[in-house]
Amino acid sequence: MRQSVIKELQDEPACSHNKKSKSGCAPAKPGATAGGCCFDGAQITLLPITDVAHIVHGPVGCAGSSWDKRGTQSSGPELFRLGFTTDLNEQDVIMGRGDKRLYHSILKVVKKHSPSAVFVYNTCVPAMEGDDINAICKMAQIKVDVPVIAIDAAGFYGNKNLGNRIAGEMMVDKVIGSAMPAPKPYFSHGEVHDIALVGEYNVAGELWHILPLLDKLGLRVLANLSGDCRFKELQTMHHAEAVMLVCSRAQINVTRKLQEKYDIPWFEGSFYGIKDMCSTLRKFAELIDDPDLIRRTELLIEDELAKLNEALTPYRKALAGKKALLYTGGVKSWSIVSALQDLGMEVIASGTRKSTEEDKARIRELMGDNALLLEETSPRNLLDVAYQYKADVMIAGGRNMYTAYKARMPFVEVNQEREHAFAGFAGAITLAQQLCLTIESPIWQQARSSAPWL
Amino acid sequence: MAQIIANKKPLAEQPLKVGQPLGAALAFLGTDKAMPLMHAAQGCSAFAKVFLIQHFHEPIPMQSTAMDPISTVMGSDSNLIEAFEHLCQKQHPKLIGILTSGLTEAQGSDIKQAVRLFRKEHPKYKSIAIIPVNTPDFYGSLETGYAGAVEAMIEHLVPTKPPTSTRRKRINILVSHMLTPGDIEQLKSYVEAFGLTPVVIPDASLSLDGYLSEHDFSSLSQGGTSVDQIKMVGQALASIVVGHSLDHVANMLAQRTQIPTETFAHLHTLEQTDRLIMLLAQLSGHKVPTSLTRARGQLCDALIDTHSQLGGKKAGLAMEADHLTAYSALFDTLNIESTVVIAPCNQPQLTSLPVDQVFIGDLQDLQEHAQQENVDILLSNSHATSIAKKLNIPLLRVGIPIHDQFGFFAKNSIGYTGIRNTLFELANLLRHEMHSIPVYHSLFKQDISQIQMDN
Repeated sequence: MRQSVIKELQDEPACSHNKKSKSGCAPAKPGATAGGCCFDGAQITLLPITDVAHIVHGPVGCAGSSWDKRGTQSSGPELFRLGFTTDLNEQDVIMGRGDKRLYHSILKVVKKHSPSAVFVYNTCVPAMEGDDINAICKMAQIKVDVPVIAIDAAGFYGNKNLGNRIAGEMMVDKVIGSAMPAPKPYFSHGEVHDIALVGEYNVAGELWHILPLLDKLGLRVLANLSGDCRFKELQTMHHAEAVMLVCSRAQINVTRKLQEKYDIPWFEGSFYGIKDMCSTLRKFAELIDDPDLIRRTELLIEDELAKLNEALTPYRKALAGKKALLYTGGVKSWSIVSALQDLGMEVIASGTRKSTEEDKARIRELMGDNALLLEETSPRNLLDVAYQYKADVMIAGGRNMYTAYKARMPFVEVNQEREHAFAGFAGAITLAQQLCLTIESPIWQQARSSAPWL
Repeated sequence: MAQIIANKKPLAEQPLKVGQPLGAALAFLGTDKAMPLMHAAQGCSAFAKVFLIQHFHEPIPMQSTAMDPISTVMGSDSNLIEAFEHLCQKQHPKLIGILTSGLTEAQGSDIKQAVRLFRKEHPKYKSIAIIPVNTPDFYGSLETGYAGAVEAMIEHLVPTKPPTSTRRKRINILVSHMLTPGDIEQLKSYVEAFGLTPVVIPDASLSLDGYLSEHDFSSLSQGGTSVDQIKMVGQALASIVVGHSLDHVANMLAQRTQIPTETFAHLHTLEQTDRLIMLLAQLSGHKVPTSLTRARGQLCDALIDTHSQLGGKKAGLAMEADHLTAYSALFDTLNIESTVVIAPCNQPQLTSLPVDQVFIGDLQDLQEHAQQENVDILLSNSHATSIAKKLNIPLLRVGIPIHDQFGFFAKNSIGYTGIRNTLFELANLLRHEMHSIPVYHSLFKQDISQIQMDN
C-alpha cells in the first residue's frame, strides 16, 4: 500500500482526535507499545462476516496466533472461524512462490467451501517481498467467479486503528453499493425502515439483545459491519436510511464516506447502559424522521423501562452505595459510568484511555467536577487508587482481571474478551447480575483469610 | 435444617442406592490379606465382585457361602463353617469379613454363633481374625454397610482395656467410604509432613490404589491396614475420624482407647482443611511446612479465578450422605446452590445439610427435579451419565460406581490440592455452558436469495 494512501487514511476529518496531538493513529513508540498491528485491526474488523472465507496470506505467525478467538457469534455460517492461511514456508519466501501459493489457496477454498466471497489479508512478509496480492485476487476472481477482495493492511503499515480504517475503506470501495436489498417485508405496526450498524461485533451474542428491540420498532438492519453479517447483506448497506457508529471511532471513516457517497445520516451511539440504549433508539427515530416511529419508540422505551426497573430492583438493593473503580476507554468510560449509577453504585474513578474531550466532559457531567479521571496507568497505580478509595469492585478489560484478582478484589470484565453480553436493556440486567455475583461471592472471605498458622 | 422428603414411589428407577454388603466388602478390602465372605447365594458376591472390579480396575477378592435350597430351609451354619475352614486352609487370610445378605438375615442366621462354633472346633486357626457384620441389603446403603464393617473391626479387634504403652508419633485415622485411595494418600501426606505416622483404617490406598506389585495375582487383598495395627490403635497419640457416617465408631474408639479423638465431617472445604492442619501442628508440635502454606495460597487463588464461572450456578446432587455433606458444604463456600439433593436412604446427618429439602430417592428423581429446576451441573456416579446427556448438562462423577472412566480411584478431592482440583474441574465442565445469549433471528433479516446484484 502506498504511503500516500496511508497518510490519507490517518487524516480523518470526522474524528475529534484528528486535531489533537494524541491521535489514535500516531505511530507506535518502540519499547512502549500496547495493542495490535494493522493486520490485527483489519482482521478483527472483517472476520465476523460469517460466510466469507478469510485467508491470511503469510507465514503462520499471523493466523496461527489469532484464529478462532471465540468472542464473536454467528447465527448461521461458521466458515469465518476456519482460520485459512497460506502458511508460507522458507522455500516459498526464498523462491518467491507466495503469490502462486495464494492463487491456488483461493481456488481450493472456493472449491471446497463455496464461500460468498474471499478476503485475502496481506501480512508483513509478502508485503515486504512485494507479492501483488491485488493482481492475484483479480486473477483468481475471474477463475472462481466469486468476489475475491484483497485487504492490504500488513502489520508494519501502522497500528490496529489504521487496520480498522483500511478494512472499512475496502468495504466502502469494493463491497457496499453493489447489490439491491431484498424487498421490504410487511410490518403490522407501521413502516419498515432500513438501518445499518458499523462497529458492532456481536461479542458474546450482544447483537441478539438489540435485534428484538429493533424488530419491535420495524427497523430492519440491512447490514452490520461486521458482527453476524453476511457478505451480500453488506453489499446492500448503502440503502440504509440511518447508520449507527457503535461505540468506537475506529470505523468513523466508513460512516463519513457513506454520508458523502450516499447521503446517509449517521450518529455515534452505544448500547451499554439504560440511558444510552434509550438515546440510541431515539436517535434512529430522529434521523429517520418518521413521526409514527418516534411515537412508537417512546412507547417501547416506556414499556422496556418499566420491565427493566422491576427486574433490577433486587440488584439495586444489593448494589446500592457500592463503590466501583471503572477502567476502560472510549465511549465506555462514560456510558458504563451511567450504567453503574443507574444501579445506585458510586463510581470512584473512570479510565479515559482513548476517550475524547467530549467523552471526558460527559464523565465530569455524570461524576461531578472532582471526578477522578485515569489516563493510561499502571496496574500498581490502579490498585493504589482502588485501596485509597476503598473500591468494592473493579470493572475493566481482561488484561486487568488478574491484577484485581491478585489484590483479592471483585472484578467484572467489560472489554472485547468478555463472556457476558452487557448490551441492551437485557444486558443491563446481566451487568447487575455479574456485579452481584462477584461482589457477594463467599470466596472473598476465604481468599482474604491468611493461613491460621501465620 | 433440611426437610427430608420420604420416597413414596412403589419402585426405584435407575437406582442410586448400592447395598450394604458392598460397602462392608469395600471396608474389609482396605485391610491386609483380607477376604470378604458374603453369606448369601453366590450371585450376591459375583455381582459385587464385578461391580468393584469395574470401579477399581483391579482383581477383587470376594467369596460366598453359596446358599442353596437346603441351607436356606434347614439352616446355614454349616455353610459358614465350611467356608471358614476352606478359606483358612487354602488361602491363609489374616482376616475374614463375613457379610450377611437379605436372604441370610431374613432366615435368621446367627453369624456370631457360627464363628464361636468354628473357633471351638478349629482352634488352630485362632490367629485368623473373623469379623462378622450384619449387612442386610434391605436396610441402609453402601455407606452404612461400610461404617458397620469398620465398627465391627474396632469392636472385635481393639481390646477394651487401654494399652499401657504409647507411641508418640502414631495417629489413627478412620476414613469413611467417601475418601478414594487418592484422597487417603493426600491425607497421609499431610500427617507425614508433620513427622507423624498415620495408621489409616481401612487403608484402601495400600490395596486398591492400582499398584502393580512384584508378585502376580493374589486371591486376598494385597496390602491395607494390618490386623495387628488395628489391634494396637490404643497406643496412638490421637485419632482422627473423617465422615459423619463413622461418628458412632469414633465414640466407640474414644471409649476403648481413651485417647483424644477428633471428628471431621469432611475435608472438602478450606475451613475444615485449616482445622486439620492446625490440629496436626498442635499434636506434633511441629511448624506447618511451607509446602502447605503454598498449597493453601494456590487454593485461594483458584477460588478467585473460578468464582465468576461457578458463582450462582445450580447443582443437582445424588449421592451418599457423607458426600452430600461434603459437597453441599463446599458449594456453600462457592455460592453454588445445591438445588436438588437426593440421598439413597435416610441418615441422621441429612437434616443438617444447608439445603431446604432432601429427597430420598433414585436417579430418576434426580432427572425429574434437575429438569424442573434447570440445574447447571449434576454430581453423581456413572449411572447419571445418560441423564446428564439427556439434560445436556455436565456431570461431575462422584461416588461408586465410576465404571466409564479410568483412574477415578486415584483422584484426589480433599485438602487444599484436592479442593483446587475440584474447582478447576467444575469450572472446566461449566465453561462450555452457553454464556452468550441464544441466537436471535431478526424478523426482518434479508433473505439472501432475494438480494439482487446491482450491475
